[in-house]
Amino acid sequence: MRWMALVSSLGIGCSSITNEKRVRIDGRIDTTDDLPGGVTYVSVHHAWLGEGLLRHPMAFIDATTVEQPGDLDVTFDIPMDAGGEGLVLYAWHDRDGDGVLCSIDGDRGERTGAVAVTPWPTYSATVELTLAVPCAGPETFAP
Amino acid sequence: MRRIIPILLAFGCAPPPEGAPYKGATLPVTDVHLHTGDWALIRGSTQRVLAGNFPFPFGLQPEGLAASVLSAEGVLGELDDAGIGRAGMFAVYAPRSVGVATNAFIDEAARTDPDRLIGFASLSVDDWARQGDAQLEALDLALSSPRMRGVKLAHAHQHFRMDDPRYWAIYEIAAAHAAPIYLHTGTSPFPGTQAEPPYTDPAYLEPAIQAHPDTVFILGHLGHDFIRDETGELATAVRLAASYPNVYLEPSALGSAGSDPDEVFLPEAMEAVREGGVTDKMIYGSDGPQSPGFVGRYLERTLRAMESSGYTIEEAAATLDGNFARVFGLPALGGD
Amino acid sequence: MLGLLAVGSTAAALSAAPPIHPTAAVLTGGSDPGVWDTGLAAGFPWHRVRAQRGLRNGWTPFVETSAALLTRWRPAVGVSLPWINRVWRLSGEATLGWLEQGGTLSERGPSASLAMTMGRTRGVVLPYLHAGSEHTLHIDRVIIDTAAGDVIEDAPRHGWTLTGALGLGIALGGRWGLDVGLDLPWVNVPKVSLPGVHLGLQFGGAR
Repeated sequence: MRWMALVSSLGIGCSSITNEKRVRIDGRIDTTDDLPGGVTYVSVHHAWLGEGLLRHPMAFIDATTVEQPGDLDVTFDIPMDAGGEGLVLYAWHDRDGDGVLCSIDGDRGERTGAVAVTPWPTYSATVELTLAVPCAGPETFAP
Repeated sequence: MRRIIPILLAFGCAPPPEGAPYKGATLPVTDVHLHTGDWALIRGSTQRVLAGNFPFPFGLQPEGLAASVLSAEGVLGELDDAGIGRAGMFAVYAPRSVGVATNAFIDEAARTDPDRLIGFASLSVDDWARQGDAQLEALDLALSSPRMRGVKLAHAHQHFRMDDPRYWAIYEIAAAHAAPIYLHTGTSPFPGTQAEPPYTDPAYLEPAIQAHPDTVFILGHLGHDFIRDETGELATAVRLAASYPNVYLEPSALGSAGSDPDEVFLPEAMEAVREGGVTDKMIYGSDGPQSPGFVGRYLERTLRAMESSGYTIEEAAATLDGNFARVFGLPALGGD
Repeated sequence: MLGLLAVGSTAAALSAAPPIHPTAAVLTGGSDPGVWDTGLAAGFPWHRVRAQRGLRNGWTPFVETSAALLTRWRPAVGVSLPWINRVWRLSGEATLGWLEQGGTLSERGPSASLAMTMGRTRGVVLPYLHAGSEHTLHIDRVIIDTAAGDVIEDAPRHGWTLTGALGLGIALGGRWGLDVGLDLPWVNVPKVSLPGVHLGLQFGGAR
């Protein structure tokens, strides 16, 4: 039985094995606009991912929401097998509450921003992020 | 297997391209939307999706089948089997989702039969702040090839907002070359794509459409929602085509056996286009080759959809080739 | 082919009465007690190797390996038991094995199968039919490196493959035979599978 436990723990029998790193990111998110409240959408991205022609910045990993600009305390599991470089936290403040950043019929001034999580890799990091750029998707914050 | 399939294609019983039978007439066909490329430049997660869709055992060694079907020779074989005269072949720069098929690759592929394979150039929009100017120059250069007659963009795959004016220089270059722009609209089933409305809903393109009256915008997939398997933004696409002379429509993929097993979406789309009075704006495309025989099967489904929607022979002929020829400044197939 | 048929000019019958011909034993299950029989098949996309030895009361343990395009391998041990052993043979068999698939769609895991085979053993030609159900346990593991140590999350999946084949076996003398057959598996239901073909060779009768 002992060898079976060893085999199992090594994952030899697994169809696939994915390695991730759990990072807790705390700190603060503020916005430059004067309409606080509502939901802030937060996502994490590899700063860069891939090689050659497939290399690209701001590769999406995962997303969550926090209640409003203010204290931040979120946890993400980051894939470590794909060779992603660096970690960036992106956020936007859903000022009109429609769930879409600068929707065509909604608030066209919703603020966004991004900050590098440093050092990386790490189990915990503290960031300070001010949302100041209107209507910018995460792809516009290539490091 | 890699060697066997082209041989099978070459020695198959394929008839020469004769057109599609429709209400007693035989109509010439252009399929504006086909892909070619290199399996190695397809993102790994998308490789798994594609391989998983291949019938067993081809998914075990998908490189061979992909190389055969996606090669210029393979595409021409698919066109022959389907009776299709010519096709658009798209360059793709979407490393976040499906991968990359470079302009040079497409230009070379189109060289195989330039009368039948029409190249669409594209560009990378990743790292736009630093690389944008260089990418625009590369697009300009690619469009100087006589084989590259259109531009392919896919905001959902390439992750740039349809309403972001920082990318509008692309539309200006396309207009300067009289190269219509094919744009993916609606969501995509592929991993790594953006599903948010600013990247998928053609309503977000309206400012760009208004600002670039000399640029032709072809709204691919009619805004179909491939994630939720819903009609999506069909009404918006039809409205834009009816409102702006520089907006055209394309119905690919949404009517495939996988997306539309009961043949509901494609007839609904064809009917909406006809009721919207924009059959002169519809340009046929399939989004093949995907798998052997897909191109022909999609054409058959489209013919059924047009027939059930009451398309006249003239409207069907315009959809299948006439509108493409007019928009791209090429002679109509079978015409003088 | 003609040369091989000439070997069988003595035309041993496939009669189910002992001795059971190796072709009947391999294709429809169950060898004579103490007798070894083996089979080898090559085709597209499947290849197979099998060896079996009869015990008392018809129980016949075997080892076999199948491979599709040399990419999807399944080595297994099993046992077959003839239920009907007259002109018509009907056997049941069960296996325990391991699935190992490489390439773009790599996957692996323990698997088990149940199958029935039947065939008609009269003269030198044996039409046969195989139908079975194979189940594989896949475990997708995520290892999360946390500040408090590794956290392992396993997500099990069930893979289901229906196996099927039909073909004709031909006796070539008392110890050799061959078969041609259609492989009709449905791999990873409900995905689409294409049929395959194979040419097999059987040899046996050794104690």
